Parts: sequence; C-alpha cells; structure tokens
Amino acid sequence: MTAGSGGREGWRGRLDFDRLAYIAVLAFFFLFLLVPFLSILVVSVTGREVNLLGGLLGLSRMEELARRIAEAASAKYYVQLLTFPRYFRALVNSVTLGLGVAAACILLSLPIAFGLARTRLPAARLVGALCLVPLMIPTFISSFAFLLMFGKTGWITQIISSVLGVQEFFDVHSPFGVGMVQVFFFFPYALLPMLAVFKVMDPTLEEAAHLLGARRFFAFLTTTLPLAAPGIGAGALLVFVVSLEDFGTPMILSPRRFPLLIVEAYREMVGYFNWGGAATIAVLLVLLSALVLLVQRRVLGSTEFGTITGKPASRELIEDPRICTGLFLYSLIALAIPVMAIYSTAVQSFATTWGAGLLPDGFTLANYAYVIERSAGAVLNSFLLGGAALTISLALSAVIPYLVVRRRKVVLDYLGFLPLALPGVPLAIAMILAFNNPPLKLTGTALLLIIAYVIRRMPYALRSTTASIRAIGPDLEEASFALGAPKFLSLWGVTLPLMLPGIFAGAIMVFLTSIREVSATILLAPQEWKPMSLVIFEGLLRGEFYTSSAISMILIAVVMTLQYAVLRLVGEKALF
Amino acid sequence: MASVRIQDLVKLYGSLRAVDGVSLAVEEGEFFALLGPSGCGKTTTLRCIAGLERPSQGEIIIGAQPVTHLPAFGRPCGMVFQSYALFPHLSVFDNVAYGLRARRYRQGGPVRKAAVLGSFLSQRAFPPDAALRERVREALHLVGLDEQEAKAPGQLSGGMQQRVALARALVTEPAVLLLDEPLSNLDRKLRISMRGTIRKIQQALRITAIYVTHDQEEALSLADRLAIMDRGRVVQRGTPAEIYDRPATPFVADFIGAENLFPARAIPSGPDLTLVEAGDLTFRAAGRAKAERVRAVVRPQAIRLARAEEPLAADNLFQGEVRFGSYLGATARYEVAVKDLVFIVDVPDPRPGALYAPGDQVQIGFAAESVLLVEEA
Repeated sequence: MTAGSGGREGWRGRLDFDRLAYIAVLAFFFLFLLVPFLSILVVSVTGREVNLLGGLLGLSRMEELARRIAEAASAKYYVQLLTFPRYFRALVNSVTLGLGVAAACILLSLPIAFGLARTRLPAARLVGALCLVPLMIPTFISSFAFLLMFGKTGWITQIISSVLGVQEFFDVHSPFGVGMVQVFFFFPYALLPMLAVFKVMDPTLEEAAHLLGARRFFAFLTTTLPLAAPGIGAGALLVFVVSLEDFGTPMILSPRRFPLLIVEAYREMVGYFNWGGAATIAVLLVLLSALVLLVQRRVLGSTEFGTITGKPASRELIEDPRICTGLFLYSLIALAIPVMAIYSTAVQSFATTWGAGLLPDGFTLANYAYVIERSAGAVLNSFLLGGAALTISLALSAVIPYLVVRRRKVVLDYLGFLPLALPGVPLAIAMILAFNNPPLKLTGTALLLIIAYVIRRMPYALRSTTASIRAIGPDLEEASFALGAPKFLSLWGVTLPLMLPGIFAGAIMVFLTSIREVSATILLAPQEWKPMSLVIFEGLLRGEFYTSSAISMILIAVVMTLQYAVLRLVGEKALF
Repeated sequence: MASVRIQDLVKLYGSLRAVDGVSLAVEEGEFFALLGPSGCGKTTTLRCIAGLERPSQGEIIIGAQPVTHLPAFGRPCGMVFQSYALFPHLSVFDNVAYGLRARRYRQGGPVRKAAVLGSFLSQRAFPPDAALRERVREALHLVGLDEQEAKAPGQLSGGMQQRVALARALVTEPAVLLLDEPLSNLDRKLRISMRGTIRKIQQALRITAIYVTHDQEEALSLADRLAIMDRGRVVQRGTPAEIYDRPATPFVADFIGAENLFPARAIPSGPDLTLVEAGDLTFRAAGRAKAERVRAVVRPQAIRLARAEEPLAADNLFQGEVRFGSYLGATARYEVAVKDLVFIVDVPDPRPGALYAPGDQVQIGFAAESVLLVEEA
C-alpha cells in the first residue's frame, strides 16, 4: 500500500507551504502596514524625520534612533491640533460634515431600501442596478459633474433660473455643495446594509403588528424601523467614515473658509512640508476612522448578519400600487442625480462648447482625439499600476483567507481589515515617512504607490475571497487528504479552483478601485507614472473641463465594465 | 487488507475529552461498526484513524505499521464522508481519479508531479492514460455507475452521489475503508438498498471496513462486530447478536432499542429464577442476577396481548388498560398501563378489524426467559 511513502512526510517540525506563506504574509504586513503606521506615530511626536527601518539594522543604530526620538518627543503637535484655529475648525468641520452626510444618506435611502426589499417595486432590477452606479464614480468626477449641473453656468442652473427667474439657487462651492455630492454618491453605503436587514427581517413580526390593529405606517414605525436599527446604524457609520476619507470632493468644491482634516493633512505635507503637523492629522484621521469602524462592527455583530444571508425567506411583498408607484418615483428622483452626473460628463466630453440648455452648442470628437494624443500614457499607466496591484492582491487574497479560515491564523484576519481605517492621504503620508531612507528607499517609486493601492484595498479583496472560502466546506479538503493528496496538491486541485471566482472578483475590485483612486496617488505617484485619475484631477483643478471629461468617460467605462464582471462573478456582496 | 488496532486513544478539545481511552481491535476483512449517540466520540475516533485529527494520546496501528504520526495523505485509508464531500468543480470521472492522481503526485518525480498538476488545469493537454481510465471505470462499475463519468456531481441524485463517493474511496484499493455516517442523508428506502450495496462490495473486496453510525438498526444489520460508545468511551463490544441479547449496561440496552426498561430490584429465588420488583409489579425472570439493583428489559415483540376476557397463559400475566395505539402496517404498537408501569407492546401482523382502542381492558403476558436483567452501572 501507500503507507510506506507517507512515512517520510511527517507533519511535525517541517517548514511546509502553510508556514512559509504565513511568515511571508506577516512580513508583508509588518513592513507595509505596521512600520508606516509607527512612522507617522513617531513623526507626530517628534516633528522630524525618523528612519524606523534603518533602526532595525543594528544595535548602535537602534540606540541612535531611540536617542533622536527621545530628544525631540513632545506633544506639541497634538496641542496645536486643539489650539490652532484652522486645525480645530477642520476637525469640527469634518465631523459635522460626516454626521450631516450620514443622516441625510439614511433619510435618502430608507424609502429606496424599503421599496426594494419589501414592495413589488416596478423595475426593481433597474433601480437596484442604478443604486450601484454612484459607487463606481470617483468623487472628483462627481464633484466636477455637479459643477456642470449646478455651477453658476451649469445647465440645470440655467434651466431653473430661466423658469423661476432666480439667479442662483445654491452655491456648489460651499459646505452644502460638498455635502450634496457626498450624499448623492455615498448613499449606497447606507442603502446596502439597510437592504440586507430589511430582507432578512422576519415579516411575521410586522404581520403580528397588523393583526394587533396597527396601521401600516404605525407598524413600520414601531416594528420594522426598530428592528432595522442595527443595519441603519452600521450604514450610517460607514458613510461617516467614507465622508471623512473623501479627498476628491473637498479638493474640487470646498472653499478655503471651510477647511477639512483630509485636505489640511495634504496641505501640511505638500504645501508647508510640515511633517509633524501632517503626521498628527493623519494619526487623528486614522484613529477616528478606526474608532467609528470598531463601533460599526459592534453594531453589525449584534445582529448576526453572516448566518442569515444564505436563506432568502419567502414573503409577501407589499403590492399596494400607491405605495409601489410612490416609492418608485422617489427612487428615480434620488437616482436621477448620479445618472445626470454621468450624462453631464458624457455630453461635456463630446461638446465643442456647452453653456446653457440640455444640449451643447455642437458635438465633436476633438476632446477624445486630444486625450488620446496627450494622455494615452496615463491610461496605460493606470492599467499597469492597477494591474500590478491586482497581481499582488491576487497572491495575498489567495493565501490570507486560506490561512485565516483553514489554518485559524486569526491575526491575519485583523491585520487584513485594519487598512479599512486608513484613508488614502494618511496612508500615503505614512508610506512616504516610512520609506524615505535606506535600507528600503521607496519614496518616489511606482512600487510604493502600487503597495499603497494593495494595502488600502486589501479588505475589499479579502472580503470576497473569505466569503468564497467559507462557502467551501472543510470536508472537501479533508476528502482530498484522505484520498492521499498532500497539502499542496489539495490546495491546487481542490481549494484553489473553488476559491478562484472570489479571488478574481476581489482582485478586479482592487484594480478598479486603484484606477479611480486619487488621494494616495496625488502624494505618491512619480511624475512619469501619473495614472489617468491623477491626470483628470489635475486637469479639473486647472480648468481643462472638456478634455478632463473625455478621460473621465474612459475611466468610467473601464470601471463599469469591470464592476459588471465582478457582479457576474460573485454577486453584490463584494461591493462595499 | 489489514487489521486496525487502536490503543488507549484520547482526543482532547480543550478540557473536553471527546475520545477518552478507546481501545479497539478490528480484524482483517472485518466489517466493524462504531455505534453511539451524537457527541459520543465515534466520528472523532474515525477521524483519528483517517489522520484528520491528531490524537492527544494513544496509538493507531494499521496492519503492522504504526500510523499515529502519519498525516492523512500518508495512510492506507479510504474514507466516505457524511456529506459525500464530492469535489463540485470536478466531473464524476475526475472525482474518482483524484486518489490515483494523488498517488502519482506523491510517488512520482518532478515530471510526474507537474503532469498531475497540469491535469487539473487542462484535461486536453494532460489526458488521462489508459491505465487510469481503466481503474476509474472499474471502480464506477463496481458501484453500478457506468456511463455517468462525464457528469458533474451536482447533476446526480443523492444515492448516485453516495456511490461516487464510495467508488472514489475504493479506487486506490485502500487497506481500510472508513465510512462516516454515509447513509444519513438518504431517504429510508434508499438507505436500506445502499446498506446492501455497501455490504456486498465490502465482502467482495474482503476489505476491512469501519462504519460510524448512530442508527442501531444499520449497525446491527451491517456489521460483523460493533462497539457501542458513550461519552468518549467504549461501553460494549461484540457481535450484533451478543449485544442485542446481552446489553452490558442500561445505556446499551436503551440505545439498542429496548423500549421497556424498568429500574428494578432483583431477588434471587431458586437456582435459575429471579424475582423482579419493578414499581408495584413483581415478575419472574430466568437466570440469576449478579446484583440487586438492575434494569429489567422486556422487548415489545416478546409481550403477548389479549383482551381481558380471553384466555392467555404465560410465566408473567398482568391486567392492564390500553392508553394509546398506533397502527404501523406490519405491526401495531400499544402503550399498556399496568399499575404504575407502562409497557410498550408490539403486535405483529395486526388485522385491521381487531385493533385495540384506548381504554380497552387487556391482559399482557411474557415468558420469564424474555426478561433481561441489566446491572446498574
């Protein structure tokens, strides 16, 4: 029999595949997650450059490093955070904006979520699909589209003022404008968890309320809404974090008098070379996001989401045509804004000039011709950078969930989800501070940007892969062992093929979020490696609206195509 | 074919002793069943034999070879899982071929290894050779699944999936076949026919089989010998007849399907007779009890039932009242209250016209030989 050959393959004390992979992944996290975070922490108290990695090279260097840190350490920058009016106002503004946007997102998405989950909504599939559109468009493009629609010479502004005779009905370059963009483009973050709770909620509870004599609206207020509270809360907290992290909208729309933390961190870094200040704001942003996400996980955890998803309970959908039509029209109005934003960008990209009215003065392909001539390199860069990030993610998101789910390396689970609390600007600042010196001088290289993409989007990649590996029963792998297949063959022949759809979906998500990313990019991208997101962003800041629209349309087309591929691979759960 | 010996096997999960000192000796070619309620440690014992769990203590020897420290893939075992664990992304053919390919991978050089890995990427580039095909077809033929090899497991019925799992476990000609509740996902009719299939194949191949189940009927009908487990320990082992006739403990008696199991006091009364006091009843049992505190077992099919006015002769005869009756086709089962005890009585081949109704006054009778006395633990 085969037993004799197995004797040499004892399972103790061998440096096998699992263990090697585990060590490699831990090293990656240590280098590119822990060291950068420690670096901004240290810089936020010293205010000057420190070379943490260099300090690891030898005892004398470590002593030198410790001495330098001890010499310069002070809470100066943290005190400044509270005493500098501009910093303090930025903190207050960021929190206020986040809270306002979160509240507005709940109000906006509550009827849509209820309509999708509990009523026979006309064209429910279309409404559902349209709800995903806002997530695909980077905020610097949506902010720009808001300018095209509601700016002083925006076409909607023109139409409204000609009808109503008012000059300007709101100023897009204002806190309100920033909030509007965030509400209409971030509300799906609130909608999706809400939709999930509405779908899994036991409708008999509501029916019981009806039988007890409660009118429908009363039953909704007293039964449905309290039961949905965890989902609503979780969504709101997520919106808060996303708003806090958003860089594109405030850069395009926020006026000088309305400082926000994320913009201040960027300005300290790039404008004033104030490393201590930048690091301190970065630390604050990270801690704030981490705190809110921690609360969010708690809130979600209390409802045992994971166990319910597989089983769609059969239920009676509300058929009352007044309710259905009402909710349908409401949904269309809410979704019209993101759709019109794409429309505006598209029209602008084909326009010779566009002033007032639904249509421009004339159509042309010249903008695209110009873009292809001037920015083809940027498009290529996007694909190369995104492709490199995709490749690294592919490897990581194949190995990490495997180690977490099958080998119970729970540490990796926590480490893998930490980057959720790392907004792009703080991450970029941390990367620059950590890798500015030998032995690993990566600042100014494309590699550092690629790693930043990988780290930042890791949770998204991991989520889709972890879900797919959890769906594979452990008995399949055991069956493989029992059939005589060693670990590597089992992984290759059974586990990996079953994980592939999830892995691919996760990796594509990394690609498409990387190519629309701008906040880490603007700090990390070397001149010769500028991707199209950055070219669009800079074009918009310079006022090159027509050509920027053309590249934006290319970006949106790529993102939407890939997003469709992800949906086909794994369904909606990988989206946020 | 090989014998399996397990010595003092212990498996701890934290402080829980899932398997607590199990020793078993399974002979070559024997069909051995591990029977017990869920959580008794029978599946964990099987998984230790397969190498899917690391024993905390103890020794497992297959044939002459200690395998305790071998990983699962190094052991000469084939295993059928409760869930079948068929690979959903592979065809029936590739599922069955898996073990053969795994062996080639394990034993082959770099080129052979690469070819096996390649066969998972492209069947066209690395087609199965004639020998592999032949072995797979033989295995599928053995379980009666010719012509199904191109299908995906998901396209097959539960019974057919079960057969694929069996073929997959057998194709490598393992020394020991391990079966973990293989029939629990099938409906009753299919379960009984698959039972026959498994037994026939096991006898044709003369393969050593260890079969885990919580279904006493399955264990009794399939196994040459069985062990009954409770809370991580083996409480009795023997042939089905030995265990059925002489349950060693009240637990075994209960588990093996003794419906009438009364706590009782045994009073020796003559060389081959015991008086049994159970509740307010006293009846006679053959033989001598070893202890005073016992459980008295009277099997439902050993009790005769008659209307109060009909003549009935038996060593033990009592008047009672029918509490409840259920007609089961081949038998009718009644609950008969006699003083403070309730007897379950099975009447074979009942005529629909002559069924008893609740409230009927009846008498029950059973022989002294049919009373089993089991010592209290």
